[in-house]
Amino acid sequence: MNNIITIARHEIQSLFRERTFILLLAVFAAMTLASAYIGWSSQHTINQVYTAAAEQMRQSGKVAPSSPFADYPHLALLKNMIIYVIVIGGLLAISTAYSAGMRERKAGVLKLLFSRPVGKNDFLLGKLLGISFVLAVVMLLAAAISALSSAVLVSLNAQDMIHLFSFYGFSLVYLLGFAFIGFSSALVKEDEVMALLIPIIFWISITFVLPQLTSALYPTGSLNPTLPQTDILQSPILQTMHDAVYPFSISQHYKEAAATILNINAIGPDAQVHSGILNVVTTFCWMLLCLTASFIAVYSFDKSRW
Amino acid sequence: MSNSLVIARKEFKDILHSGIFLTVLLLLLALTVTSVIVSSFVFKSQVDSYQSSLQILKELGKQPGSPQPELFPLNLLRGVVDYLEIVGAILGILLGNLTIAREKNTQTLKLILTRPVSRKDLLFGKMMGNAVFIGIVLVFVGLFALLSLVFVAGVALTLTEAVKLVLVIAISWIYIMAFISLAAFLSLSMRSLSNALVVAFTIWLVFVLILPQIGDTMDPDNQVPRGFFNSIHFNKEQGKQVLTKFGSYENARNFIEELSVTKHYERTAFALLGIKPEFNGLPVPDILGQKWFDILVVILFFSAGILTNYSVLNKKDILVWD
Repeated sequence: MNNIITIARHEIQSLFRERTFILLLAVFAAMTLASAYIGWSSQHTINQVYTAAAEQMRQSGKVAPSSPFADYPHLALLKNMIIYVIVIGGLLAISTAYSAGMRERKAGVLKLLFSRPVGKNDFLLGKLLGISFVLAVVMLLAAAISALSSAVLVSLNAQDMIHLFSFYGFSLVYLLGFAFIGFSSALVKEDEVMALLIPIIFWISITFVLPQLTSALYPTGSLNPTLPQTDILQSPILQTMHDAVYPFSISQHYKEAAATILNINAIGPDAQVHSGILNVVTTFCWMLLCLTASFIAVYSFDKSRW
Repeated sequence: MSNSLVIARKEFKDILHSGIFLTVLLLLLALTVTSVIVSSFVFKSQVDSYQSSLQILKELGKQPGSPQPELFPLNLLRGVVDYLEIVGAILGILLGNLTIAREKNTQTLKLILTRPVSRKDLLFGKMMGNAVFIGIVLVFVGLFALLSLVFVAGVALTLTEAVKLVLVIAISWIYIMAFISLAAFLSLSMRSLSNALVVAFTIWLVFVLILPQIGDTMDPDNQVPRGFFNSIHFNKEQGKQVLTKFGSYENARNFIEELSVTKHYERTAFALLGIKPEFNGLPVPDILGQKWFDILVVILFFSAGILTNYSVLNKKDILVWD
């Protein structure tokens, strides 16, 4: 147990000393801060656009339909955060875990480490504990920034705060999956660039390719927090493709569950409202599957090789 | 054979021998085919939907309000451009980092420079090797796109469309080369190669994904699934008329998008592919004339990368690498 704590503590200290980690963290924190303002500004403008459009309709003798933003929930101004977690958070998780997996290899101290009474279990659990703690701190920091910046722009009640912190807690589960893949790849791949490329290919597939197959979304369309239209899936072939791939489209499960947690998924006439529980369970399964991959990676790697 | 050519040949062989070549090539080809397949099915679905609506209108004795969706084959390649701007840039960063890493890790730079090889030869040789490799990858992507259009979508390209496709490949080549030079510059300037790689990825994250995403999500029409104006039964002209009252907001949104070189690349490629309907059927010189600024920004980004690399490589302290 002591070994695990020592390795985890060393990992946490090393990560917070790394300039590249600090750089990505700064980008993530800056975007977290900006997301509330971007959301508020868009929301404010779209309401004015609706008022102008409704006025134009009234002048031409038409009846203006009700505003699609009439019951906009407070936390809707954070909808961009869902995308920033997927994009910036995903890469931050991969880069953090990749560094953790590579550190001893690069320093050439693996043999030395295992010459001491440290088992593979201690090594794995210590590393994973360190990575998880660091990502938890990142999510907590983001939650605090979001809570403060949102509170300045709109009035939030206690329930909103619970939703907000639950969202970041759930996001941590999603990000841990990528972190575990990044860590596994750093352990098993000999080539350093390939070790980074493999989790990035995973990330690209989950973020862009699977949503394209399930919802016919263009890759850059996946970066829009508004949930996709579903009428296109009336085509039998697209519907079949959707049914076959959707269970594996983790980023979509995350997006839908996160929108449910933030209470913003009912925006729009045909917005998809999938079972929240199913989405949350799928995201947990994804994280556990990646955790299993880390165990396999640690037990299969030859500690004498590096 | 000149020094540059020898270095270029060595660089090209090194890339081919690394696992990255096959991995990225297969990834890009798979993404190309996937994009064309999905886009073809979406188009067929739109036509079927139109036909069934037409049938209902005929039974009611009414005329359709809009014409049947028309297939412009190059429109089906939108997803391919999206992937090139994301994955192509990643490929560029990896290659740029590797080209310097090979010399730093083996400490061969000093050795090369003790021979009658100028720093200019070294830079141009390395860039040429990467340029040929990227050219080959993009030719494969273009061919796969062409074959997918013929065999999946069942359409053939006219000569003008083929020229437009070639121009998209050309601008994609410059765009990816710009990322190679950026990553090479960072790897040359920074002591740690891993740090240089992560900094390059952070720049990629900001310019390829975040800035275009901010501009896109600030678009009032992107706030509801089928478009805000569509949801209140406004056509495009009416929507534009309303937005003229929000000029400063639209200018700010456009400014954010224009900070990203990716957006300039995307605008050029989308215009050539006719993704924006107003460019469909326009002659190539007219499209290039309208998009000259976007093309210029992409070229300037690439040129700046080459110049900064040359400037760093010319510094004397480059020889103290260990």
